[in-house]
Amino acid sequence: MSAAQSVEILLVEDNRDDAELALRSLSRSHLTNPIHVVKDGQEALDFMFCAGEYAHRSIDDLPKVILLDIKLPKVDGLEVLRQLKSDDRTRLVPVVLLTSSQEEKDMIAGYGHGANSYIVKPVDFQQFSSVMTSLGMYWLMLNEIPPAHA
Amino acid sequence: MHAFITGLQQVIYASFCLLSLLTLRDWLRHRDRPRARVAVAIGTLALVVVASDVDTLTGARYVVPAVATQVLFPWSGYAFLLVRDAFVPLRRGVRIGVGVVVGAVALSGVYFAGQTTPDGARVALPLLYYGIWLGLWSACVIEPIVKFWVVSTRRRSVQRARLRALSIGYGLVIVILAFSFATRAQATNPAVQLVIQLTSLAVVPTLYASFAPPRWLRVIWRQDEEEALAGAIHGLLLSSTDAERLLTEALDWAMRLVGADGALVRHQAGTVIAAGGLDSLSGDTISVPLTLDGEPAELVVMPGPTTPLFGADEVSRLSQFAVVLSTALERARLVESLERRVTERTEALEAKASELEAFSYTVSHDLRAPIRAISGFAQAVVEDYASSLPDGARSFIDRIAENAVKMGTLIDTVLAFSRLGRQDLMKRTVRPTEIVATVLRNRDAEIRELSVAVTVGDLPDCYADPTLLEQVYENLIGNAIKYSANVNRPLVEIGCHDSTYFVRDNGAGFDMRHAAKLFEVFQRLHRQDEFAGVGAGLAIVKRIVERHGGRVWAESEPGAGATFYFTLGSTR
Repeated sequence: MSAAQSVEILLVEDNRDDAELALRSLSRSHLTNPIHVVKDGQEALDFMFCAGEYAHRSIDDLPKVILLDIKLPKVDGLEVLRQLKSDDRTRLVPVVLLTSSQEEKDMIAGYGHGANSYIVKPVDFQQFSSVMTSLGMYWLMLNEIPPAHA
Repeated sequence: MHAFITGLQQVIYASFCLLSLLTLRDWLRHRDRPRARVAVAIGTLALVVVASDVDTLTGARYVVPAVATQVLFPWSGYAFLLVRDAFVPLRRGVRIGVGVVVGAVALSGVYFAGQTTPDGARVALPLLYYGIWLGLWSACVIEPIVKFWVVSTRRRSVQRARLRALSIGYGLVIVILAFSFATRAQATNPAVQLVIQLTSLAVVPTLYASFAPPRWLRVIWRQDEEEALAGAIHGLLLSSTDAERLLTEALDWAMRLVGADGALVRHQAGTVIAAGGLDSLSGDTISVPLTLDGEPAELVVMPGPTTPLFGADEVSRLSQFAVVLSTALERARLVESLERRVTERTEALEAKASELEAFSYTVSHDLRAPIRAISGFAQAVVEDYASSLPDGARSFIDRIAENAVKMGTLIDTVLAFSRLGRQDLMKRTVRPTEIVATVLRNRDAEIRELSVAVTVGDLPDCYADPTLLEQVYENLIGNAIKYSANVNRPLVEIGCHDSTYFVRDNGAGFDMRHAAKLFEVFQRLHRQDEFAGVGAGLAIVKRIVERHGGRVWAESEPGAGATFYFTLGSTR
């Protein structure tokens, strides 16, 4: 991913395998939106608020959607979610939680902090697609997915 | 008759003397103000009786007894007012004012008593003076009588009885005076004399009872309190779990029992643990041993101005009370420490439970990640390299993926099962008929495909968590369909008999010898290739039913179907 290109999907995932499977699932569906992967909660916050190694970024350059794992090193997913949703600059970016199980605890806590949706891992494209649809982000698919018979 | 009356007169005379001596002794023994004033009041009254008696016996000839009567009589009334003052203080002005008036009347009495006729006999008192004289005395006495009576209504049984005895004793003197005044024309009438003398005689024991009640009388006075205590003792001593409150209440009872005005419990070293009523030790206290927190202590009760004298009887009664109190205190202490321990253990248990919950959550999360990777990459191999894989390799990869899925299911089952144990029940009145209908609707396709005949009988409403009850029916009906799928005409019957709900099938059934294993998690009575499943359904049913306070059991024979019964505990 080049620095010049705008990031459209931010994937926050510390598990290498899960990240790879998610990227694989999205790329196999010919989703070519630029995806950026960060490996912990602190890095996600740095990315969003343009701090640390992301100091050169512009805060207005927001991703279209954030896929956020709940269990993360350093700062956990729910804390990242809380900070994003309590800051006016980032409040409107849709956040989709990646859950490892259907444990209701995560879901309730996630929605309590304003998560927009959740996906149970492994991220398969069908589920991702239906979540995007329910978030009203048709363009993310429509613009980027070539017609099936193209 | 005359001799009898004269004799009676002597008895009264002696009684009053004895009474005044007793009050004097009582004062000498205790040397407090109330007793001093009682001694003065009774003493002057006795002197008046003696003086007037001498006056009468000497035919009212001599000046000295007459003067003594005139002077002492008003003062005996005033002395009683001072008794009232010692118990229930008067205003200083009233006390002094009345004293001045009484002094004036007494002095004028001396003047009248000194008047003699030329033949040496005394001049009869003018009626007006007589009226003032009696009126003043009566006022001095009636006011305390009323006051004591009024105060007595606010006192506990023993003190009340004592105050009333004082009131009644003086009341009788008033009655005598009023009667003598009314019948002064028939002063020599033996019947009148007899009435006066018998009443006078009654005054003595009544007054005596008021300041030094005998043991038997104190026991009678205490009777009300004993009865009240008997009624309260169970609640007080046996069900009180708060040692502090128990002590406070027990002190109150100790005071009530003996008519004391103060009580306290102190350690042997002198530290006061609890106190009620008067806060400083005074007068003739009773102290009985007590055990407090395994250490020797004492229960002390203190008399007040209206408390009768304590005797051996009060001491033994209080000792008895202290023994019971010690036991109750020990019991309360044990209960308190037991409660503390239960609280501590509950907290420890809750901490363990939440630790376990956190653990199972972590396990579910962490175990899932590798399973996800296994099945995800197995699938990736199939997707990306399907064409170059030999047939054998493909089937191995499929089996890796299958097992990963199965492992995931097992983890889910364990989690679901553990969640059942900790989630709160949302009980309400539910209609099992509707729940069963939902379950059957969800399985409609399966039922039709296997042509299972399902009958639903009458299912009474019950009080349960609807989501969990649906899970129970889901599992039982699912099993019934699953295990009857292979028979010729599968039949599933859902019903209720005597508040026992049941689900019956005509399927494979099982051997009752293995029935105990049926409801254990991951225990199966059929091989995986016969009937698929992880063996958690019935364990979940059991856990749900038991959390509702109900019971689940099964009856079956191999090949003859099975019936599962369950109850849901109380209706509320």
